[in-house]
Amino acid sequence: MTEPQDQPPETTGHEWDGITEFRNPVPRIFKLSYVLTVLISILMWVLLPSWPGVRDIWPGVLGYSSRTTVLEGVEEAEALRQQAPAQTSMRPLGSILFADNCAACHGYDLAGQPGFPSLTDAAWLWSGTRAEIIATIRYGINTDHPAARYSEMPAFGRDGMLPKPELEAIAHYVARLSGPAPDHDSAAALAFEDNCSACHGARGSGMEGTGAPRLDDAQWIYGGSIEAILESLHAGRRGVMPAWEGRLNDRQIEELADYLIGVADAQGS
Amino acid sequence: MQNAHAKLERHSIGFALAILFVASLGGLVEIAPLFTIENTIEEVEGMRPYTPLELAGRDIYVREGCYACHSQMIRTLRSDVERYGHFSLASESMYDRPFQWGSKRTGPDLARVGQKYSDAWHVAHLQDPGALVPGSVMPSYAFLSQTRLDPGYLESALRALRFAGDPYGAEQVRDAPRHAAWQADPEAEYEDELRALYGETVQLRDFDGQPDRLTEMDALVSYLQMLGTLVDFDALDPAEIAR
Repeated sequence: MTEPQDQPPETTGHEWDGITEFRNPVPRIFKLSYVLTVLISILMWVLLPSWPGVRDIWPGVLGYSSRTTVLEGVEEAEALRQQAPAQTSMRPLGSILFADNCAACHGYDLAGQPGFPSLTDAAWLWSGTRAEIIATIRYGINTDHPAARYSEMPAFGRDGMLPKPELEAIAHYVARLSGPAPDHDSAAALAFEDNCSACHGARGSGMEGTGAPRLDDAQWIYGGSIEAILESLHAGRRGVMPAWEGRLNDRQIEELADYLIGVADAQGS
Repeated sequence: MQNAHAKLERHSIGFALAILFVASLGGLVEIAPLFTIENTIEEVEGMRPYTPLELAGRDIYVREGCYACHSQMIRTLRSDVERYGHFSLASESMYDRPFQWGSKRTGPDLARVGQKYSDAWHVAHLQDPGALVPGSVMPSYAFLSQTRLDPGYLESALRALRFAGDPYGAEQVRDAPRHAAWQADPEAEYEDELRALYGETVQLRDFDGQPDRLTEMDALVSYLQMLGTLVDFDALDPAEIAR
């Protein structure tokens, strides 16, 4: 604009058939930023881990490692949680841990899903004491862990332990155990006494510590229909609870146990 | 400065050499680190090649496009580590061709899903994900339980991997189809033989709840139950990991 119109603009001096080229260099600010970014990248190579070498990688002058940083961050947060009083925002009850780890099987409402027991009622397969719940979470049930709990419902039908008519009679007896008038004088009741009560308790009243559920309440793990009970009797059951040792730390396992006890208490009262 | 450009332009051989130099930088940066890969991957205890059954499961995982919604890469972020466990190590993908890191999580990360849930859960979940996880948009893979696994191809699959450098022995390649059936045998009759070949971390059992059939569900669940369980994190050298 300040340039007078009558003065021709500077050209590169090239000419092709009368066509000339203006000299329009890249603005200095762009050229400078380009050089600057190159310089910064070289600086970063020096400061941070970058080039692989023959023996080792270049660790960087700052000695920064994202892995060390995150491990320290996790440790720091864990220390804070250990110190924080329980049931505060820093250390909420185990509900978050439960949603992340347990809800997939036991359900987000803790009411269980087909094949996975409910945690809301007062009935426990093993025991409702804190130490025993912690042991169940830590070592699991029917896992490869040496301290795992072990429990298996035999395949009475498939393995030929009882004939089919008898199984059907037992299934009908078991289905009625939680009803108003179970028939304790039938032949099926006697067969139950002989074959099932060692784990499920007399008249299916349960026996904590065997891992076998009580059968006279309204809760069913695999379903309370005749078909489901027959399937359990025929092919057996061997539910697996994973061992959480190694995946969850002691504090987390204890918080989960306290959470479960709290839920069971709230339901029972 | 203003005429440097003009000078360069007018020397065609020099200019061609300059182009060659600049273009080679890109290749250099991408290729040179591959020659030093031995030095940049952590040394850890426990990594082993896939068993034939796990490999078949991995092939199903790739075939069904699981990687489109599930990553297998726990990042070095506190939120990731607290939810999924120890961040993924480069060495944990050393037998993955190609790796399954993924770049998008519609579902959760699966890098350490192994032994987090029971086999029965995996089978029930793959058959009807929405029934177990409310709000899940994962489609049903119930057909895997009905599809018999054809393990015949595993021999050539292992041979190819051996050619690519995976440490499979001649016996492992030759008997791969048989080994796949051994791993899903409910009686675990050949446990000692499989462990001798593949180590103590091999899990042997009927995975799909159908003891008399070897299905694609067996293969996929065996693969899922193995994910992230190989490395012995107690034996990790912190200095090696911090590099």
